[in-house]
Amino acid sequence: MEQEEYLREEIQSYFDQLNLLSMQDNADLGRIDSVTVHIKELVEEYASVLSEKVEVEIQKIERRFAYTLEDELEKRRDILAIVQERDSKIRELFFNNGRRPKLKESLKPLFDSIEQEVTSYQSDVNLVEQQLDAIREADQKEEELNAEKKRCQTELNVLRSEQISYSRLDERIIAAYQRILTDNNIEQIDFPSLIEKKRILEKRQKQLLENLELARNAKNADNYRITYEARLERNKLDIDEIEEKNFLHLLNKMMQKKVSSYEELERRTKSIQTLVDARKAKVQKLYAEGVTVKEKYATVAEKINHSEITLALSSLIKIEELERQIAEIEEKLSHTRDHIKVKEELEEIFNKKAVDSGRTPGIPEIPPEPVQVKDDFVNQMIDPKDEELEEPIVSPTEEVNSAGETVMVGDTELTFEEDFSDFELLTPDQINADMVSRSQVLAVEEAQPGLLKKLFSGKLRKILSLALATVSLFISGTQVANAAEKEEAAENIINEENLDTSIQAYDENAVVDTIAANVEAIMKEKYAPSIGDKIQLNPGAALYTTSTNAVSGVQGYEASASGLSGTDLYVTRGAIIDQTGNPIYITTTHSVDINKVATDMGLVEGTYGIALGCSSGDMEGNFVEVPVDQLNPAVEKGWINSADPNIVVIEQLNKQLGQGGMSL
Amino acid sequence: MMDIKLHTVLTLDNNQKYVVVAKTEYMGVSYDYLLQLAPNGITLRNKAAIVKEEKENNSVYVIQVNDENLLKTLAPLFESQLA
Repeated sequence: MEQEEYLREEIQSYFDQLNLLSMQDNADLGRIDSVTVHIKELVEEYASVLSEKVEVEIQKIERRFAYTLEDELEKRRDILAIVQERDSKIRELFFNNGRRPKLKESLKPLFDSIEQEVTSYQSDVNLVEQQLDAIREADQKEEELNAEKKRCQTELNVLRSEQISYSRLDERIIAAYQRILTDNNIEQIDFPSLIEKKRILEKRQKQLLENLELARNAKNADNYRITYEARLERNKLDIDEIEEKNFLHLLNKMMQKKVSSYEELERRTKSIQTLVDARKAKVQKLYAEGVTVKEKYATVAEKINHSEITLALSSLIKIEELERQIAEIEEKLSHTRDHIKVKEELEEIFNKKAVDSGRTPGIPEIPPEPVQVKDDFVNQMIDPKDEELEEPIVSPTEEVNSAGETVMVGDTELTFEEDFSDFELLTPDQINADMVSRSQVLAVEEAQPGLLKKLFSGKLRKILSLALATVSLFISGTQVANAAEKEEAAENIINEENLDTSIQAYDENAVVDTIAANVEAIMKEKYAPSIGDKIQLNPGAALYTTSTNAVSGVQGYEASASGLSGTDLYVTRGAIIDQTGNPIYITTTHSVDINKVATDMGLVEGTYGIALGCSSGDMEGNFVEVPVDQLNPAVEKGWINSADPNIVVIEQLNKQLGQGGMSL
Repeated sequence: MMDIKLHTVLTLDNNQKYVVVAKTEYMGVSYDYLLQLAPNGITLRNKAAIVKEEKENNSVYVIQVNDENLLKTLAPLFESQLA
């Protein structure tokens, strides 16, 4: 019985005693007090035991590395649950044991302390939840701001593409002005003589008006009156003609005025318009009864199309406005997350809190390279639900074959190792030994998954390969001239295979033993893949579309079928898949030694598999590093199982470097 | 007509089963490296064979290769697939 359980039972037992004492006719108050005190002490001890356990559990949870805020929230919730459970366990002691106000009062500091702790851990949960809510809000806000920015940017781009420079616009306007000036000989106007002529005409007009006034008042002076009215009219027209020329002269001056911006262009246009309007009003007043030839001069300036200027100017204003809006949005975007505490800040807060409360802060274990879960690529890796990951389990049944042997049929649960016990070696004399010289093939079937798994075993393939290497020596009917030649041939083959032991004299058993030893040596020297290794795939290599399939060996296709066998490939990705078929680590970082990562992660051999992503390299055949969360279909070709014996290592990066590669 | 592919299981007229562990083509002829199986089609046996494929009247035959020179030629071709 654990101490916790023992104490709980003891407390309950004393509660029962307390109840029984209270039920006595002459209750012994002294004893009741004494039992009460004892219960208090036991409850405190019980709380202390629970707290020790809680502290251990909290430390364990604190050591869990949180990759994301969601992970952090899970940690905080787990801690809260533990503390709440302790709270419940202590409070449960008082269920069905009477109100016991005195006892509760004496335990108030304990209850307060526990409640305070629950509140504190609840506030930790709240803090993380608040950050997650704030992140969601910030995401939403950023989405809206980015949409608005995109809209502004699109509009801005359209305006900029349509906008013509003020100088080009001015050139076009000046050209139009020039036509007006040339057509009307405006540049030939002698302005000083015009002024003089006008002065004379105005002086004369004064005299004509005086005479006309006299003629109108004189008797029988109609001839004078008519004559002076006509002369006055003529004089007015002459003056107006000078004013017209004066107007044109001013127009000329204005049209010739240089501008250097849209604003100046606009000011000049407005001045011209004002001049024209004034002239037009005067002409209309003077020739109220009809259109005169002079009006064309007054309206000619209006004929210049100013819409382009207006458009350009309004575009300019709009562009400025949009640029301002974009800058404003960017400023807002840069502050959407100011109020959010990042994971590290939260960890700091929690650690400080732990130190303040006298606890050792939980230091998370150093993690491997973070697994970045994003987009379709990783989804396909982590969601193998729809795929058959395991062979169907068929109960084996005993059957008698045609040769009268009792065999197990449907025994797909047999592991290779079990089955391998009687297949330690294939000696060359076992090749073609039990085969009739010519046989008809009656049926061709797909190999069962269990058999396929064996065929991809590195050990089996080595045995089969070594048997081939010596086949020409041992096959029945071999025509080797003498033992010396045999020995020499054996040595050559053995040397080719880098066997450690050289054979001094021909001995069939010794050669077989050496081969067996070599098989073991090869088995020990497994391929330790690193990102950046250059490899080739033999035709039998199996490629997969997902890393989980590569490790579980389902839905593969042959490298030769996709034309990938015999070409140089690079190991671009490495994924460690755990026993449940989930990827627990993925990297694309150059020179990372995947096996070492697995070791550093504390994974036990046999409890995980390694899938390698292969790529073809760039145009020059150089290694291309790819982002971990995004496929590069231009170079990436598929996944292979690192244990696939059909991988031929051309350049093993870390072996070449003479070091173990980067570890974590 | 039946097609012998890599990693398929062949049942011969003497009821023996073999799995194709390697396959190659030499001088326009297909050759297979076979490994014998128990009748359950999954348990491996310590018997292997190097055979030539021959097709005749819609039937497929496997013929044991005994020629030493041919075996010497074929062995590395199979080996490269198994290495």
